[in-house]
Formats: sequence, C-alpha cells, structure tokens
Amino acid sequence: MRRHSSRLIILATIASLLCGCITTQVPVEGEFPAPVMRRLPYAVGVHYPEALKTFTHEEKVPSGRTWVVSLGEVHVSFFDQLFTGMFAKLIRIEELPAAGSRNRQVDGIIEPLIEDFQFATPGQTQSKFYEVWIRYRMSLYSPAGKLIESWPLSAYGKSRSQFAQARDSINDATVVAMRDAAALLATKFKAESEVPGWSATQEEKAGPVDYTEPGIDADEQQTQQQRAAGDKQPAAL
Amino acid sequence: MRYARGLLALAFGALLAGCVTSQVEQVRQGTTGISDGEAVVILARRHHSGHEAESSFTECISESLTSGAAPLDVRAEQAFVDTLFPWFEPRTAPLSADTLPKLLGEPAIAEKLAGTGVRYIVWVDGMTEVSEGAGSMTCAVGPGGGGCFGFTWWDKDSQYEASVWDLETYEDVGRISAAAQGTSYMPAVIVPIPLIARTQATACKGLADQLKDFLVVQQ
Repeated sequence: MRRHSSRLIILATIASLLCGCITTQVPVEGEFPAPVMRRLPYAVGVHYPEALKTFTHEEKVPSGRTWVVSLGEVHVSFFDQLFTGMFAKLIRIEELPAAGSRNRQVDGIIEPLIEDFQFATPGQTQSKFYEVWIRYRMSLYSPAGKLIESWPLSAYGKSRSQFAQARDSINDATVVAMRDAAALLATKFKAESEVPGWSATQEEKAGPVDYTEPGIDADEQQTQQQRAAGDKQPAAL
Repeated sequence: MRYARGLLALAFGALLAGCVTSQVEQVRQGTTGISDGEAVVILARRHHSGHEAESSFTECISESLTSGAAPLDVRAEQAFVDTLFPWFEPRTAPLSADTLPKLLGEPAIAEKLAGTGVRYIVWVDGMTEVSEGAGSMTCAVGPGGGGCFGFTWWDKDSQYEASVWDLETYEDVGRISAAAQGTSYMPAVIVPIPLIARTQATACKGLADQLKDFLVVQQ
C-alpha cells in the first residue's frame, strides 16, 4: 500500500513537471528598520484598506510556472514601522471618518494602497536579476476624512538570481522595492516641515496630543477595533 | 617525502586553475590614516539597473581587510545600511562626497553615523562578466556507464573600482581599481576537468591589499 502511494506521488510529481504547472507561493517576509529622521510633530492615523491587507499577486510566467506573491501582511508591519519613525504618534484606524464626523485624536490620516505589482525573472529579461516593481497610491486625509493629497509612488527592487532559490530571490527583490518606497516617502516628508492641510487642524483637537511617546497608540487601536467589531459605527469620533 | 607531496598538491592546484592576468591602479587625492577606534565599511553601488558588485566580492574585501597583518575594523555592510535607513538605499545613497555635508547636516543621521565609528566609506562598483565560450562537449549515459568527451573554454573579466570617502573631512580621498582577465578551460575525456580562472578572487586580493596600504599608511 505504502509502495503504491509513493509511486502515485512520484507519478504526480513527474506529471506536474512535464506540464510545467508548478505553483510557487511567496508569502513575502522581511524586517524593516525604523527610518532615521526627525519625526514630524503630528499625531497621524493610518488606515489600511482591506485591499492592501489582503493584496496578492498571481502570475503565470512563460515557463509555465505560476507565482503567487502575498504582500498584504508584510506591508502592514512595514508601514507601521515606517510611519512610527516618521511621525510623533501613530494611531491605527479601522475606517475613514464618515461624512460630517471628525477624528479628534489625529492631526491627519494617511492611507497606503498597492495599485500594481509586477516582477520579471532573469529568463524574461536575460539578466542576472529578479526585478520587482510596486506602484503604490498614497493618500492624505484631514481628520474629517477629506482627501487632501493623493499621489502615485513607484518603487523598484532587484535581487541577484541564485541557483534553485527563485522564491528567495523574488522575496528579496520585493523587500528591496519596499525599502525603496520607504526611501521615497522619507525623502518627501523630510523636505517638508509641515504637511499642508494637517497643521491647520491641530488647534481644533479636543485635547493635547502626547508627542513624547512615539508609536502606535495601543489603547486607541483597541478601542477602534472594538468599535469596528461591535456596532459597525465609523471609527472616527 | 612531505615536500614531494606538497609540490604535487601545488602542481595539481596550478593545473586546476586557469591563467589570470591582473592589474591594480591607485589614484590618491587626499591624506589618509586610521586610528584605533575608527572603522571602515565596504558598500556596493547598487543604483545601476543592469549590474551591481556581487556581495561575495564586498565580503571578500571585508574579510581580507580584517585578516593578516594590521587588521582593520570593518563594519558589516547590511548592519551599516540598516542603521542609517533609508539614507544608504540605492535611490538615496550619496553619489559624491560633496553631498555628505548636506546629508550629515541632519542631526539624527549624523548621530547615528557617529555611533557606528566609521571613518571611511569604501564604495565598490563593478562586476565580473563571463563571455560566451567556444568548443564543444558531448556527454552520454548508457547501461554500462557514462562519460563526456570534448573541450570548451570561456573568458572571464572582472573590473572593479573602489572609491574611498573620508567622513572626517567629507572628501573623496582616492580611488583604487582592479582588473583581472582569464580564460577557463574544461577538457573532458570521460570525466570533465574544470580549470577555472579565478578572476574575481584575484581582483579581490589585489584591491584589498592595495586598499589596506592606502588606508593605513599615513600620507
């Protein structure tokens, strides 16, 4: 019986190799350092849309191999780390403020989104590198949920091809592209002493914001999650 | 008897390696010298889309500098880049020493850099290229065994340049270039015997030896 099963496994493997229908899953993993920069004096709400949290790219390359690259989870931790280093305080919010309401805990809201992901293998480009392009859309909102600015951000990463390690190479190229995105964002915000549309709202906050303890406001995050899970009311106050 | 074995091993090693010719050049533009507590970091230029110096090459230089007589204190490349994230990424890394004052004018960045203890940044650019070879080889496997017959060869060309920046004076204090060319051969009579020209290793040794002299000797 055991012999029969092993034969079936071998036959299935050979059949999948012959028809080229191999699927490779790449749940992108990486660690990102906090950016070295002067924190901008804002309490910022970050909103991760469902499309970002669950973003997956699936593509069948000419060799017949199908790649499934999962980018959502790693991007949430990546942006958390990045924005924590960029702003005085970061609060994760579950939903953008509904019309007529205002989130009084934040000076502004930032929403990252992945619009497109592309990659190329060395076989496609006749080079020694796996290459990755990620196009993001970054949106800045006022505490009332009004769109202030929205711009595309294109990041690029490459990783040297290594024998029998295509999965690692795609992962590494993606991480390099994400670091490139961080470089672009840090450069943009480093050049600006204030974000238009955010500074004006500071006087309208209900209470003072603690700028001495940077990082994600855990209590606020929990409250937001409870609200989102409970009566489905908008997270904004 | 022991000497005979040593000579035999040496001759065998020489036979297995292809011939390599190399050249190292240096241009000094400023004074150097390194004190106790000062470190060096070797960084690969990664902003070109078509090529970048192999991490094995920068690691080879780092290992050469930290070994032998008068070893230098060399910081790990990735740890240095992470410490100063994101200002030494391919897109943001300074391309000329003239931009260092502006970058280090940011107190947070200057403080982090001072914490690393790095006095010299050595930027390495270049690559090893393998040209298309010639010759032919045929291999076959049968019930009684297998084997190969033929002869192939190919050229390898390693070209690297190291640019040395002094973080104390914000100056590009010099450049060292290393080039190594060689031809690798693979004759096969039943068993293929690769005679590899180790051009990258030769370029690494030439560049690292010159770099150590360049940094240590006060001029």
